[in-house]
Amino acid sequence: MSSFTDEYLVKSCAAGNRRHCRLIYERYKKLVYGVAWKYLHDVETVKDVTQETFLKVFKNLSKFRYDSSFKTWLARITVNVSISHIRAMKNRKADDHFSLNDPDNNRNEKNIGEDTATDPQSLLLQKEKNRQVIQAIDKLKTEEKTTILLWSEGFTYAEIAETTKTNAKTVGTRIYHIKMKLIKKINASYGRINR
Amino acid sequence: MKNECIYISGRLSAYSDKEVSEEKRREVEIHLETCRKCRTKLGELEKAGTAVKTALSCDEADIDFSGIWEKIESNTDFRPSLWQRIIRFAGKPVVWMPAVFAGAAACLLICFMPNFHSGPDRQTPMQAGLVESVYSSTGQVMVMQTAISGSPLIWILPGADKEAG
Amino acid sequence: MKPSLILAPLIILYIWLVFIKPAEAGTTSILHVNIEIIKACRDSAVVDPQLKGLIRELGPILNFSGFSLLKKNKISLKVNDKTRLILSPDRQVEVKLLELDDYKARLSVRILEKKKETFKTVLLLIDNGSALIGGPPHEGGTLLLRIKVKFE
Repeated sequence: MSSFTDEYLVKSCAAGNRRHCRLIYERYKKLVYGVAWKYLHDVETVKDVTQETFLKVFKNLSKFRYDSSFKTWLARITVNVSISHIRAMKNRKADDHFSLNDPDNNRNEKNIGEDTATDPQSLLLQKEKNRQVIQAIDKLKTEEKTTILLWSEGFTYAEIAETTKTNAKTVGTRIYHIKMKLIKKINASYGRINR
Repeated sequence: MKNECIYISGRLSAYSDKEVSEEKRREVEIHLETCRKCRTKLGELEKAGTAVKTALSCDEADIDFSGIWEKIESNTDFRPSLWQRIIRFAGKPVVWMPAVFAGAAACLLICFMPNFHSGPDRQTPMQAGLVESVYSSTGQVMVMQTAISGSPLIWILPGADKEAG
Repeated sequence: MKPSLILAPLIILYIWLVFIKPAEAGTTSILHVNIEIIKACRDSAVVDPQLKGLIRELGPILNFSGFSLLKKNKISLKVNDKTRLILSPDRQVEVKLLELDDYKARLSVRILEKKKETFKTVLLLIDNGSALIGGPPHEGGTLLLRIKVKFE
């Protein structure tokens, strides 16, 4: 992977260097895809959001003032584009409606977990657990949902704070409360998670 | 002990995320050695975290990222137009100010110094170094200057078939 | 004695010294070249004390945090002399002095991999000037060559 700093690549890309714009894309494509996936859970929609996010990023690069890290600025754009897509999908007609929690539309069959056996019953159990978790997360307030989704993508508390325009202590408190909510909801609807 | 449990349990989530200071980490670990309740709670928090990460994980192996890039590239005009580049270049103070001064100095030279020669004592001082030519078998090279001394920095990039990513 | 008989040769001498005198071969005939072979990496913050300046020089452009000095060679070259250093079993660097006068040294730097030229540059350096060449992967990090010259 390139040794250039984000700052150098951003300035160069903003000046029209196509190669450096490509390097920015290669460096952050998985992050953008991963964050969008956590909102949308559909491969084609997430690909569209990834494309739209980078188009917005390249269009607005010259306006980026380094008052935050490039990574958190990019994450903020990804979150905004993903949320816009969710709102747009919710406004569609019933027959076109895409359910975020419909497991048949979740084409990623690989989020089963490393320690689960591969027999059909265990796979179904894990799928149901995943569905419960996603349902619980979808019911969270927007800022809480963004916090937990970025946390699951590997963002530090400081990075989440920068992206959501709050502070690390608030992020830590939110994550704690979200985990406690999830434990209660999942235990209530399904039994103990550690079965 | 109960007050300590309340204090520690509020920090267990940050502890499991490795987001606590060294001092707090030790405090939590000392408490966990003797408090089963907090150990159980830590286990539950970790399992909730794992459940979230598992539910939200995706497999990027089959994603056609190159295809996404092609769509981005076709919808983005990376290069400004020639006119925009000229305006942008000429409009920078670091460009037009030296250009004005250089023009004024050239006029003065032409008016007051009719003889030009390149004797050794009239040579223009060179910067720390210059790159006269460069070749790389990868076909991809960048020539820059270091931040402090302005020395030339030549960076050999991998070939197009070994593009980053 | 007529003043013109004294002035004329002085004027001719002045004109010759300033305008016509050929460029001196120069008192500089030997170039001292210092070649440092450095490994730069991003997964370590260890910086060799002799390379501390590189952090400030390269920081705004490249995000390396660690620099190790693998080898340091001091050689003296006359015009058309060349020297080769081994970077790794398959990789060598060759430095040749092409031209030298009082003000600048012209050096050719080539990198050869399995005896085949993969990189070449011609540098013009002033006294105490330096240049950096980097980029290829090397021993788990990135190769960086620093070439400093000093005129004798």
